[in-house]
Amino acid sequence: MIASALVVVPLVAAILCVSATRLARPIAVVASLAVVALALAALISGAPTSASVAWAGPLHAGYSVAADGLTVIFLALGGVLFAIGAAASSRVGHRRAYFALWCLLIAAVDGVFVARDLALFFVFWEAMLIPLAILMWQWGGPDRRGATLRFLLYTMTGSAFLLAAIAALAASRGTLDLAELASRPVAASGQLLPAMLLLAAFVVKLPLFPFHAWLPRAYVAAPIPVALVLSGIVAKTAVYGIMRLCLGLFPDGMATAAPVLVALAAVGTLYGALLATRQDDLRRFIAFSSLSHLNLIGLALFAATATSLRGAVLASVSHGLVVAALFLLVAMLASRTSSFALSRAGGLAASTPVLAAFSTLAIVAAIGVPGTSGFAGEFTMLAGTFERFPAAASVATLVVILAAMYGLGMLRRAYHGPPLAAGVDLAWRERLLVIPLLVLVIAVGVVPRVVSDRIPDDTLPSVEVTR
Amino acid sequence: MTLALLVALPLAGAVPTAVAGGLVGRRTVGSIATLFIALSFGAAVAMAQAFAAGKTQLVAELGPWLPIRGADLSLVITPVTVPLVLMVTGVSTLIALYSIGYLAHDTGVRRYFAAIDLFVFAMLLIVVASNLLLLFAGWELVGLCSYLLIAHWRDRPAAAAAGVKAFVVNRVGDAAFLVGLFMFLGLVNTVDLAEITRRVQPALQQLTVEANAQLFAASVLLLIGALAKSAQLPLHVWLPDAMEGPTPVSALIHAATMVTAGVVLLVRLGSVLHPDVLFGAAIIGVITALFAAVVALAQIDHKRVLAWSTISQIGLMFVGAGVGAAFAALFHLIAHAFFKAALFLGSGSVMHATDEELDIRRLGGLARRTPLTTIAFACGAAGLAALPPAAGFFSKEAIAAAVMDRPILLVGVLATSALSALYAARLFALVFVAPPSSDQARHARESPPVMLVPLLALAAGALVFGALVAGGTVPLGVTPSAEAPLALSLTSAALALAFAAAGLAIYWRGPRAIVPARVSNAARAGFGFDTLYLAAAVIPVRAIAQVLEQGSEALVQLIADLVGRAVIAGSALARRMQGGYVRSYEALLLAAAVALLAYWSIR
Amino acid sequence: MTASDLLVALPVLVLAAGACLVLLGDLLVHADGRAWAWVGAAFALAAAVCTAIPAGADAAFAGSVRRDGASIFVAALVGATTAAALLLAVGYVRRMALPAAEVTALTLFSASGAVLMASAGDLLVVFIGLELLSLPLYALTGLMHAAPHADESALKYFLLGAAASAVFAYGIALVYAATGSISIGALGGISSPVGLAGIALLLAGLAFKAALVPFHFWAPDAYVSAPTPATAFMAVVAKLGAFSALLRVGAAITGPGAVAVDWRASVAVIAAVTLVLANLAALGQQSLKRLLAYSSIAHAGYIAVAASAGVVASAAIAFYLVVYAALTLGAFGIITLLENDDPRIDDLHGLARRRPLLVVALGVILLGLTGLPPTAGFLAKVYVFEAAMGAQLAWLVVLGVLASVVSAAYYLRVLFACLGEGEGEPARGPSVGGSVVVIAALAVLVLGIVPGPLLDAVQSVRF
Repeated sequence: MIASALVVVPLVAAILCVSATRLARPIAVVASLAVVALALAALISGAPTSASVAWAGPLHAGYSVAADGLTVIFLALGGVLFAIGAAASSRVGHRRAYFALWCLLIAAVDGVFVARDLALFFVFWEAMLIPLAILMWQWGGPDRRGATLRFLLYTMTGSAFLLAAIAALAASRGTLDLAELASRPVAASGQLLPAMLLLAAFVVKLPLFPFHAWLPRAYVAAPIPVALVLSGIVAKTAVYGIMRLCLGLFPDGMATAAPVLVALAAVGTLYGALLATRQDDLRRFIAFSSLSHLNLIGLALFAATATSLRGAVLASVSHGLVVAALFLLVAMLASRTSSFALSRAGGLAASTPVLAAFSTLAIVAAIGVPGTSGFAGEFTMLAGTFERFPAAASVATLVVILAAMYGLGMLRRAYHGPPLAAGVDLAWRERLLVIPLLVLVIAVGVVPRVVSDRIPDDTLPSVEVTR
Repeated sequence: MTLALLVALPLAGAVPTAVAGGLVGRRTVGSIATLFIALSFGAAVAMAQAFAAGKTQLVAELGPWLPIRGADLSLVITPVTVPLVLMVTGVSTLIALYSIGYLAHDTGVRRYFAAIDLFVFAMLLIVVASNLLLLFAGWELVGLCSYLLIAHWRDRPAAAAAGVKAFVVNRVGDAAFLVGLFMFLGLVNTVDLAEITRRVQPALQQLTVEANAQLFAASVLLLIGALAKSAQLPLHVWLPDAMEGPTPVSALIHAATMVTAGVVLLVRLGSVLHPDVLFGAAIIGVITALFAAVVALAQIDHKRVLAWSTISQIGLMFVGAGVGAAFAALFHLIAHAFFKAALFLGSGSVMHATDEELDIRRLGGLARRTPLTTIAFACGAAGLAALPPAAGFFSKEAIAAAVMDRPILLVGVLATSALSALYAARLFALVFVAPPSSDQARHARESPPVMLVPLLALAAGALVFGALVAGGTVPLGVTPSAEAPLALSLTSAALALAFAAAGLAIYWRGPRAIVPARVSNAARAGFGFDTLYLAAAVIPVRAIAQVLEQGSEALVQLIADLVGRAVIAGSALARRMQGGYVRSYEALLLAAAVALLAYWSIR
Repeated sequence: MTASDLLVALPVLVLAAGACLVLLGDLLVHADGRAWAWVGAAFALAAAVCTAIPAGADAAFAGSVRRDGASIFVAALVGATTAAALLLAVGYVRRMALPAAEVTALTLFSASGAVLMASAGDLLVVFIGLELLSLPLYALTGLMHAAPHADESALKYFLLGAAASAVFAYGIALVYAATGSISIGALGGISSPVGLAGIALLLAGLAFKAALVPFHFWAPDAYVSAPTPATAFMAVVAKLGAFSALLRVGAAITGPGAVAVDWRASVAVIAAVTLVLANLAALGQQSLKRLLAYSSIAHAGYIAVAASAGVVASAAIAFYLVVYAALTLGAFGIITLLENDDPRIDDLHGLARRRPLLVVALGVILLGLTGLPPTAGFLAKVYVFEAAMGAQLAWLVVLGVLASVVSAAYYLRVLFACLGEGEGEPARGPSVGGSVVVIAALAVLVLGIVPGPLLDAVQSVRF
C-alpha cells in the first residue's frame, strides 16, 4: 500500500500544481516531504508495503511494488533533495508547469525505487527522462538545447539495451517479477550478457567513465535545482539499479565482468578528480568532482562485497546531500558575483563569512573528512573494495589526495585571498536551505549505521569473501 | 565516563563557538573555548589520579560507527597515554588562553577558537582511540584543523596556499595510512587495536613469507602516514610554510598536537608494526633530525627557526620510537611540548611587541624591553638546547641512552643535539641580546598578562619537567629501557654547553655570516625540496590534468559528437535516396524484388 | 451464395454499401458536405460493430473468404479507424473545400479492400482486395488539387503501385504454376524453384503495400500530398490490409522445411533495413507530415520485426496495430487541426502557449510513437520485442531498440518545438477532429496503464 502511495502522492501533487499557480511550490515541497514521511513510515511501522496487480500478463509484466530498507534509504534521500530543490526554485517562470513536472519527476524516481518488476522498473526509469528533459530544455541555461539532447539520447541509448535485456528475459524466463527471477537464477555461464545489457543503462546514468560525455554539459545547462536532483538522486537510481538488478539477478555475470568494470571505475575516480582541479566554471567543478565520487561508488558496486556495497549506499546518501549543498552554495555564490566562474570570485570570505563557512563544510564533506558522511561512505567503500580488488582500491585511494587538491583549491580561489569580489552574506532564507543538508551530512557521518543497518541482507552478497 | 568527557568537552566547545559565537563578544568566545579545553584538562587530571591510585585501563564504549568490524566509537586510555593526554589538554589550555590576548583584535575569533577546540578533540582522539579507524579520524581531523588555522587569515594568499599545502601533503600520508589500514583489515579482519595487537604479536614470531611481506607493506604505509603527519623527510615540506598561520597555532601544531601524532602512532603501534620498518623509522628520524637542524641554523625568520627545529626534534622522537624506546620518545615528546610551546608563544610575544617583525636580523635587544618574554624564551631555548637542568637535557639523554648500542644513531643524535644548542643560542642571541637593528625592536612593548601568564607557565614546565621525570616524581607510564651511563650524560651536557656558548658568542653582537652565502641560501631554502616537489609532483599532476582535459575529455566529447554526426550523415544519405524520380524508384523497387527473387530461386 | 456467406463477408459489404450509398446520395441530395463524412463514419462504425454478429461459418464463397479471429480483428480495427479518419475529415473537407462525398466514398471503398485482404482465403481475393484498397488511395492522393505536388504524387503512387500490383500478380501466377492452386494454404507445400520465386514476388508486392523499405518510395510523397485525414487513413488501413495478407502468407509458409526459415529471414532483413533507413530519413525532415510519413514507415518496420518471428507473434502484432492506429490517427489528426496543412516543425513554436491541451495530446502521442512509458506505445514495442526475442532474433531487437533512440531524437524535436517561443496558432474552440485527437491520446495513455482488456482480446487473433 505504502509503496504505491509513494508514487501516487506526487502524481496527485502534480495535478494540484497545475491548478494552483500560487501554491505550486509549497505543494511540491509538501509532496517531497510526504515521500520522506511515507518512506520512513514504511520502515518504522514494519507493515507490509508491497502490492501486486496484474498489468500486462501476456508481456509477462506485472504491477508489483514494495519498499524495503534499501528502497527507503534512497526514497528518503530523494524526498529531502526534492523538497530542498523545490524550495530553492523560487524564481522560476511558468510555475505551474515547472512544479507539475517536478512532481512528475518525483513520482517517476519513487517508482524506480519501489518497482519490483523489470518492466515496471523500466516504465519509471524512462518516465524520469521526460520531466527532466523538459525542465532542462525550458528552464535551463544557454547551452540547454544541446545539453538536453545529449543527455536524453545518451541515456536513452543506454536504456535501449536495458529494454532489449528485459525483452530477452521475458521471452526466456517467462516472468519479469524480480522475486521470481531471483528464485530461478540464470545459470552462471549465461549471466554475463544479460548483466551487461542491464548495466548499459546504469553506467550511462551513473555515469561510469568513459560514458560521461553528457554529464558536464547537463550540469552546466540545467537549472540549479534540476542539476541538484539530477546529480543527487537521479544518478542514484543507477546505483540502486546496479545493486538490485545487476548484482541481484546476475551476480556471476557481474563478477565475470568485474575486473574490467573495476578498472574503469578506478580510472574514472581519479580522472574526475584530476579534471575537477582544472575547472573554472563552478558547475563543471561539481560535475567532475561528482564524476569522481560516482565512479568510486561504481568501484564499490562492482567489487560487490558486503562492506563495499554498504559503503556504496552510504556514499550515495552522502554524495546526494553534499552535491545538493554544493549546488545551492555555488548558486548563492554566483548570485553574488553574477557568474559561475571561479575567476570572477576571490576573497569572498571577507564579505560573506557564512557562505564561506558553509562552503568549507560542504567541501570538507565532499573530500571525505572523518565526521562527515563523505568519510563514512568513502572509507567503507574502499575498505570493502580492497578485500577483493586491492590494487584497484589502492589506486582509487589516491583520490583522497586529488580531492584535497580540487576541494581546497576551489575554496582558496573563491573565498581566500584579497577580496576581489564582494556580496551580501547569506540571508536566513538561503541558510535554511543549506543547513538541513549540512546537519544531515554530519549526522550520517557520526552515526552512519543508522543508514547502513537498514540495508536488507538479501541485497548484499550472501557469501562473504573468506580471508 | 571521564574518558568520554575528556574527548567530548573540546568538541562540545567547538560547536557552540562556531554556531553561536556571534552572539557574545570576542573575548567571551575565546574564554568559553578555553574553558572547555581546561575542563578537558580537569578530566585528564582526574584520570591521572585514578591511574595513580592503581587503575590500569579505562574504556569508554560510545556505540557503533562504521559497518566494519571493530570500527566503533570506543576509547581506551592506558598509563602510557595518560601523560600524553595531560600534556595535550594542559598545553592546549595555555595556548588557547594566550590566543585570547593574541587575537584580541581579530575578526575571525569564532572560527579560530572553534578550530582550536576541534584540534584538541582530534588530537585526543588520536591518543585515546581504541581502534585504528577512530585514530585515523583524529588523524585526518588534525589535518583539517591545521588547514583551517594555517589559512586563518583568509585575505592572505600565502596563508591560503600554506593551508592547502599542509592538508594536501598530509593527505598523501593519509592515503598511505588508509591503504595500510586496509591491509591490516585484510590481515586480521578488524580495526580494533587491542585485537590487532593480540593477533599480530604472536604471529610476528612465526610469519609466513607472504604474511611477512604483507605486514611489511602495511607497516611501511602506516609509517608514510606518520612521516607526513610528523613532517619527517621527505614529507616535511608543509611544516615550514605552516608559519603563515597565527603564532599560537604554530605553538599548537608544533607542541601539543598534530606533528607529534606520528610519534604517538609509532608508540601505540610499536608492538604491531614490522620491526624492520620501525627501525627504518629511526633511520629516517635521525636523518631528518640532522637535516632539519642544519636548515634551522640558516633561517632568518624566528618562527621558521622554530619550525625547522620541530622537524629536527620530532626526528629524535622517531629515533626513540623506532628503536622501541617508548619512554624516551614520550619523554622527549612532552618535554618538547613544553619548551616548544614556550618558544612559539615567546616568538608570538616578540611579534606582538615588534609589530609582527619576523626577521631576526631586524630584531635585537629585546631583553631590556620585554624582560618577561625574554626569561620565558630563555627557558624554552635552554630546553631546546638541552642545557642541564632544562627538560630537553634529560629527554635527549634518554634518547641517546636508547641508541647506545647503535653507534651511527648515537652519533646522529648527539650531533643533532649539538646543532640544536647552536641554533637555539643563535636565535636567542640575535633576538634578545644583539644590539637592536630596527625601530620596531627599539620600541618593543611587553605583551599583556593574558599572554604572559601561559607563556611563563610553559617556560616553567620547560625548565623543571625533565628533572621531575628523571627524578621519578612524575611517572610516564612506561619505564626507561636503558639507564644513561654517566659518560653519556657528561658528553651530552658538555656538547650542549659548548655549542650553546659558541652560538651565543658568535651572534652576541648581531648577525654574522660564517658560511658562504651559497651554502646558507641553499640551507635556508630547505635544500630545494619545495622545488623538487614542484617539478616532480605538482607540475606533472597539473600537466596530466591539462592533458586529460584537452585530450581525453575532448575525445570523450568528440566521440559523442561523432556518433551524433554519423547518425546525421546517415540521415542525409537516407533522405538522398528519396530523389523524387519515378524511374529511380521503379528501378530500386524492381531491383529489390529481383534481389528477393534471386535469393528465393537460388537458395 | 448463402446467408452465411453474406454474414461472413458482412463487414466488407457494409463498407462497400456505404460507399455506394454516399456516391448515389451525393447525386440525389444536395446536403452539406460534412454530412457525408458523418454518414461514412456511421457506416464504418457499423462495419466494425457487425463483426460481433456470429456468422455461423468460418468460411464463405468456397473458402475464398474466411472469418476468424484475425479477420474479425482487422475488420473491427479498419472500421474504427475509418470512422475516426472520416470524423477528422468533417472539419477538414470544409476548410480545404474538398468534395466530401468523394472523399468519403473512396475511403470506404478502400477500407472494404483492406478488410477483404484480411479475410481472403486465396491469393486471388487478396489481389482483389489489394486493388480495391489501392485504387481509391491513388485517387485520394490526387484529390488536393490545390497542393503543390498532389497530381505528381498521385501519378507516382499509381505508377509504382501498378508495378507492385504486377509483381504481386506475377507471383500468384508462379505459385499457381507450381502448385496448381491459388489457395493461400497451398503455399505451405511449395518446394519448386518456380513456386519459391512466386513467394518472393508475393513478399515484394505486399511489402510495397506495407511501405517497407526498399518498397516504400511512394509513401512519403503520397502521405504528404493526400488530404491529411486520408493520410491518416492510408497510413493505418493500407498497412492493416498489407500486413494481414503478409502474415496469412507467412502463416501458410511456416510449415515444415527450410522455406519457413527463409521467409522469416527475408522479413527480418526487410524489417532491419526499414528500421534503419526510415528512422534515419525521418531524422532530418523539416515537414511534420513528411516526418510522420517516415515514422509510419519505421513503425511498419517494428511490425515486420514481429512478423519475422512468425505467426506466434500474431497477438503482439495485433496489439501493435491497435496502438499504431491510435497513434497515427492522433498524430495526423493534430495536423488537421492546424491552420497550415503541411507545417514545418519550426512552425510549431509557441503552440504550447496558445493551445496547451493540443500540445499535451501531441506530447502523449509523440511519447507513444517513441515507445516511451507510460503510453501503450511502450507496451506495444515491448510485446513486439519479446516476440522477436522468443524467435531468437536478438540482433533485430538490439537494432530495433537503437533505432528507437534515433526516433526519440526526431519525435522529441517536435515536442520541444511546440515548447519554443513563437507566434504559434490562434486558439480554437472544440471540434470533432479535436475530440478524435483527444480520444486517441487518451486511448494511448489508458492502454498503456490498463492494457489488460485489449491484451486479452488480441490473444484470439491468429493470422
